[in-house]
Amino acid sequence: MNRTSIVLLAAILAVLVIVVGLLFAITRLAAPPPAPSPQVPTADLASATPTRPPEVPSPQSGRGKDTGDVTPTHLLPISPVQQPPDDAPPAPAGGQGFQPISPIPGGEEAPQPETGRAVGEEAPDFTLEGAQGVPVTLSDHRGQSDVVLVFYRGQT
Amino acid sequence: MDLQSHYPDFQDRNAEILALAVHEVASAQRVAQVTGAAFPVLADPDHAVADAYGVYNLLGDGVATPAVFIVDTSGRIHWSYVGQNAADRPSAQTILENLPPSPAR
Repeated sequence: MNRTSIVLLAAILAVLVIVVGLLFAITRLAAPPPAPSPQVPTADLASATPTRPPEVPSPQSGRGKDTGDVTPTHLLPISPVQQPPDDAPPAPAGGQGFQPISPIPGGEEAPQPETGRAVGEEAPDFTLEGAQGVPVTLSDHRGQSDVVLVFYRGQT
Repeated sequence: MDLQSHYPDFQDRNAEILALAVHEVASAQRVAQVTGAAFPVLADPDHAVADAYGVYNLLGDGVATPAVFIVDTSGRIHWSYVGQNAADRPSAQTILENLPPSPAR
């Protein structure tokens, strides 16, 4: 073997070493490939990969202390929002709730009917039986006394 | 409304009180017993009178709306008050104030 060949061989070897070294450096700096390279020793992986972080990176320290399914406090439901009381008074003038958009002609029990007989009209006469057991007629009082008619709601 | 306690005031003003409700006579009797009303408590079971005065079922609840009508001696309505809800009724004092002026005696 002549000297030229030796030099050439050495150069090729040096280049190879350099290339392989570069490849090594590149692969080690980049993320480890999913498929473990058979040429990469396990020891290198263990030293190269940092310690696996905990599954729940939460600051609360309960984990690991209790056994069983202890819900982390930060995952507990917050207190329910205060609901307005259900016993709020119902809407007044219940007829308004039933007011139709368009008036129903001849409708029964109109939601906003006349508010009773008008002042100045003749009071409708009637005869009703009362608790006292004696029928009472309104017109009996005519000319004698004023009458205060008090309508109670009654009991259904 | 506590009319019973003011009944003497009404009598002084020559005004009779007639209480009506859409109920049976038996119920009217119970009411009279419970309240001790000295004035007539009348039963309007078929709500005919409530209808005539336009106060039946105004609230859609199948009973008369609380209402007060003052009928003067000529048989005409002198004053009226129709409640807007089940608890809306005038006080006895209000009714007294709205009675027709008493004739000079």
